[in-house]
Amino acid sequence: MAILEAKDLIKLYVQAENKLYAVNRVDFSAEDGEFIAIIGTSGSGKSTLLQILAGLDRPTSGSVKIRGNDLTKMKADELSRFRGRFIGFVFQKHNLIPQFTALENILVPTVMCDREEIRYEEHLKKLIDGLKLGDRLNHLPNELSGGQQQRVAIARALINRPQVLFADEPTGNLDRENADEVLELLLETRKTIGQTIIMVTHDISIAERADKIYRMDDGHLYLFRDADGKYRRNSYEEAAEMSKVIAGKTPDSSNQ
Amino acid sequence: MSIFIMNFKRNMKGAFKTVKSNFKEYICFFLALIMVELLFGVITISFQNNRKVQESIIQDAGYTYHAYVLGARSEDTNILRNAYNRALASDEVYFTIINQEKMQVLFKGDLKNARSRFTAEVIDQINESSVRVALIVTPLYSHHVSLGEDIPGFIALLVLLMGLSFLLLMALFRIRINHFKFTYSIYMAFGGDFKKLTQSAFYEVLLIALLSFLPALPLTYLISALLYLPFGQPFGFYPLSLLLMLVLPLICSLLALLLPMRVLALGVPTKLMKAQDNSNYLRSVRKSKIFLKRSPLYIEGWALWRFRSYIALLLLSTVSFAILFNAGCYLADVYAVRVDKAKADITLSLNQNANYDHFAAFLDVNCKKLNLGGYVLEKTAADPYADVDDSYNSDGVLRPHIAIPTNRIESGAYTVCPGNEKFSATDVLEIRPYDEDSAKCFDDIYAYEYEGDPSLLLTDPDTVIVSTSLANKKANSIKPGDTVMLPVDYVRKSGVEIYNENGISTFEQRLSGYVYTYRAFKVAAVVTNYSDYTNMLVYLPTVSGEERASGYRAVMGCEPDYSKIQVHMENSDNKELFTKLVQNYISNAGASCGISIDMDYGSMDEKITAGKNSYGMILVLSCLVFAVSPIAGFFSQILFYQKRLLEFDVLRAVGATAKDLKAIFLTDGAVLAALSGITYALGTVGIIHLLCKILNSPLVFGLFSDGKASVFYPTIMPIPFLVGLVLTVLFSFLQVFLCAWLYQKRTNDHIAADFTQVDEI
Repeated sequence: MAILEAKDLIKLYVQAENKLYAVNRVDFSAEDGEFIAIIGTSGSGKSTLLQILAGLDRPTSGSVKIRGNDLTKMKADELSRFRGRFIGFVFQKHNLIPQFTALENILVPTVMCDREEIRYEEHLKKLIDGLKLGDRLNHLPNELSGGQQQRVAIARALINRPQVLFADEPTGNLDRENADEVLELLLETRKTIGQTIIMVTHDISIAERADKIYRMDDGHLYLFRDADGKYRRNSYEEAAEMSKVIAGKTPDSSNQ
Repeated sequence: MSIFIMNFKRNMKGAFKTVKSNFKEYICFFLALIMVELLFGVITISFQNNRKVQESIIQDAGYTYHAYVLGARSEDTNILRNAYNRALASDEVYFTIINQEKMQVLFKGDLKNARSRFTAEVIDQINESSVRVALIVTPLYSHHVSLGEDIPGFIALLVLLMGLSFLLLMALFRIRINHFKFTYSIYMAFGGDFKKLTQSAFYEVLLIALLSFLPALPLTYLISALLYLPFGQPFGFYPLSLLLMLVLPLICSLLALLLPMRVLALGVPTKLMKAQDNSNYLRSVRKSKIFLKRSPLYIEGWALWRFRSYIALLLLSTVSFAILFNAGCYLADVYAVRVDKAKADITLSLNQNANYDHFAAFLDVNCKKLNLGGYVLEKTAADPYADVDDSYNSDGVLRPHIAIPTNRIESGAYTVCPGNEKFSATDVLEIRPYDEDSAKCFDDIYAYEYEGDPSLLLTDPDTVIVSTSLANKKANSIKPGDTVMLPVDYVRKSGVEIYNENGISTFEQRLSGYVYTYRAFKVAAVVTNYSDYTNMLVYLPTVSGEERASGYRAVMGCEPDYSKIQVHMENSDNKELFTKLVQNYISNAGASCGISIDMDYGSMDEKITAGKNSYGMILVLSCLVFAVSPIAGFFSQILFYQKRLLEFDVLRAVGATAKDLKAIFLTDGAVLAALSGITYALGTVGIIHLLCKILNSPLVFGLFSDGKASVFYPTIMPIPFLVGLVLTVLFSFLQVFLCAWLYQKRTNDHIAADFTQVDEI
C-alpha cells in the first residue's frame, strides 16, 4: 500500500525573466516500509523534491499525500503538527540549532510534539549508542566535527519514530565504516517500526541497498532501478517524453 | 491543577535558562519593559495621587464640608437641626452637620441629590418669607462630585499607552524573531505549530516582565515622588498601580508577541532557513569592486540599498518614539496654556431683574470702604439671539453679521456680499460689549495678543475689536485702521423665500434676500490668539456719542444684559469678606435683586492644578517615551551586525584592511544618521500638524474650551525639536559605532574560529 503519493509536482523559481523548474512534473510514490534512494547530479533538484515531499516546502503545483493526507492542502499549523507526528528529516547541512547542545538538538522534536517522556526511554539510549554520541551530548554544534553533527541530525530525525524518514545525504560527511553503521541503524529502525525511508545520496553503494533507485535530472524524476533489480536504459529520454516538455511549451501551472 | 503547576514550573525553568544563556540579546527587552512599566506606573500613580493632592489642598484650605449657608442667622440653625432630625428619624440621613453655628454640612450618598434635597428642606424654608440666604458649595463638593468623571479620560490614556507599548514591543519581537528565524524553522520542521512556537516565547516574556518589574517599581515611585514632594504636595503608596504596571505591560507584551509569531508560523520552513543563511553571505560579488577600489563606500552604499526594507523598519521603530517625544512636549505646552487662564475667585449669576449698574456702584463704594483691594469683573452678556433658529428664518429676527474687506480674507467660510464684492461676510460671531471692565480683562484675564489700541472703544462709538480667527484657524489679515461693516437695520425683499438649509447656505440666502443698512466701524485692535471652535470675535463699544448710539446698541438692538460676573480679586485672602459683602447686598435687596452667588473658590482650582503638576507629568512621560527610541535601535543593529561577522571575517581573510572595514561602518553610520535626522524632522512636523487638527476637532476642543485665549496652531517647539534631532542623529550613529567597536575587539582567534571546526579525536 502506498504510504506516499506525489502527483504532477512542479516547483518553479522565477528571477527576473529567468524561469527555473527545480521540479518538473514529477510523479512519485512509495510503499509502506520501502527504502527508496534518489540519485542525481548536483543541482538536479533532489533536495528540493525531498523538501516538498516532506512538507517543508510548498510546490508550485501538484499534490503530495502521506497516508491519504494531502500536505498541499493543509494549513501551516496542521502541516507542522503532521510533520512532527509522521515525518523525520535529515538535512544536508545538518541545520543544528547552534545554541543548543547535541542532546537538546536531538530532543527538539519531542518538545515540539509534547513527547518529552522520550527523554527517559530506551529508544533514545539506543539511538545515542547506535550513533556513538554518548560522550558528545553536552557539546554545542560548533564543538562537534562534521560527522558528529550529522549523527546528531540523524538522531533528531529518528527520535519521534516517524513513519516516513527523509534523508538528504545523511552519510555525506562520514567515512565508509561510519556510513555503513548509520545505514544499518536506519535499516534496523525500518525493520522495527516499519518506517519508509526516502534518501538522497551520492553514494552508489548505499543506493544499491535500496529497494528502488530513482534518478533526478534537471527536475525530472525517473525510475533508475526497480524493486526487482532491473535497471532501465535510456531512462532520461523517456522521462522527458513523459513530462511532455516540448521546446517552447511550458507545463500546466494549475493547483499552485 | 497540579499538572498545570508542574508544567508552569518546567516552562518557567526553561525560559529562565534561555534568558540566562542569551542575556545580552534580552537586555533590550528588559530595558523596553522597564520603560513601559515606568510609563504605566507614573500615569496610574499620578492619577491616584492627583486626587490625594486635590483633597489635601482643599482640606488645608479648611474645606472639610461640602456646603455652607451664606447669610444665615443664629435662629436659622433650628431649621437645620430639624431637617437633620427628620432625616435621622426616617433613616435617610443624607447630610451631617460639621459646624452648626456656621451651618456647614457634609452630604452623604448621591451628592447632587443630597444638595437638591437640602436646598428644598433648609434653604427654601429659611427663604420662605424673604430671600436671605444662599447655599454655597465648596471645592470639596466639586471634588467629590467629579471623582468618577475623570475615569473615562484615564482609561482612554491607558488604552493609548497600551497602543504605544504594543508598537514598541512588537518592533522588538519582530527584530528578535527575524534573528531567530533559523531556530524557529527547525522547530517548525519537527512539529512546532503556532501554539508551540509561542509557548516558549510566552514564558520568556512572562519571566522578563516579572524580573523587569523589580527595578521598575522603585524607579516609578522615585520619578512620581519627584513630581510632587519637591513642590510640597503629598504622595502616597497605591497598590492598584503596582497591579496595573505589572499586568498591563504583560498584556501588551503578549499581544505584541502573537502577531509576529503568527506570521512566522504561516511561513515555509525551508524559506526561513534560507533567509537565515543568506544574511551571512558576502554582499553581491557582482557589485563588489573591493579588490580594485581603495574605499568600499560604493559597495556599502549599494548594500544599504539592498537592505532598504530593514532600514525603513528600523527607522520606523526608533525614530517614531523621538517624534512622539515632540508630540508630548507640544501637548504639554498646550496644556500649560490652557491652565494659565486666571480663575475667578467668585462667580455670580444675574437674571433679568438684576440692576447691574446699581450693584457695580455698591461694590465700588463698599470695597473701598472695607479696604478689600482691587478686583476685575469679567462680565458675560446674555446673547439676545440665543433663541434664533439658524437653520431657517422667514420673517423673524436675524443674527448680526460682519462684513470685512474681501482682500483681507485668507481662508474660512466667508460669503461675498451680493452687490458689493469688495466685502465678504460671516454671521458666526461672538459679540461682546466693551467697557472699562472688559479693558481690564483684555490683558489680565484673557491675555489677548493684539495689534492696535483697544482702549479706543472706550471713547469712540464707531470702533471695533475683531479677531483674525474663524473656527479656530487664522482666517483673515485685518489690520488696525481697516473698515468693517455691521448691519444696524434690515428689510426683507418682497417675494423672496428663504429655504431651510445648512448654516452657510441659509446665510447666503439671507444676504441676498434682505436689504441691510450698514454702519461702518474702524478697527481699533486685532486679536491674534482668540480661541473658539466656531466663532470670530467682535467687541463693540458700549459708549455712545453725540446723538449716536453705542456700537453695541446699534448692532445688537439693546444694551448689554449681563448674565454672569466672574470676580477676580487682587488679594484672594479677602474673598470671604467680599462674598459676605455680596450676600449682604442680596439679603438687603431681597429676591428681586436678581443676583446669586454660584461659586466662591475659583482660585482654589489654580492651586489644585499646580499641585497636580500635570505639565511636569506630561513632560516626564514624553522623556520616557523618548528614552525608548535608542533601545530598539541598538538592539536591532547589534543583532544585524552579528549576522555580518562572517562577512567581515571573510573580507579580512581576502585582504581588506582595518581601515576598509572602518569605512564600511562609517558609511553605515553616516547614512543611518542622516536618514534618521530627515525622518525625524519630517515626522515631527507631520505629527504636530496632525495633533493640531485633532485638538481643533469638536470632541477634543471641548476639553480646552475654557482655556486662555490661544489658537491651537501647529507649533514646532525649538528646544525639544533640536534636542530630539541631535540625540536621534547621535544615537543612530552610535548604534553603528558600537558595533564597529565590538568588531574591533575580535581577535584573530575569533576570526579563525569562523573558518575551522574541531577535528574528531
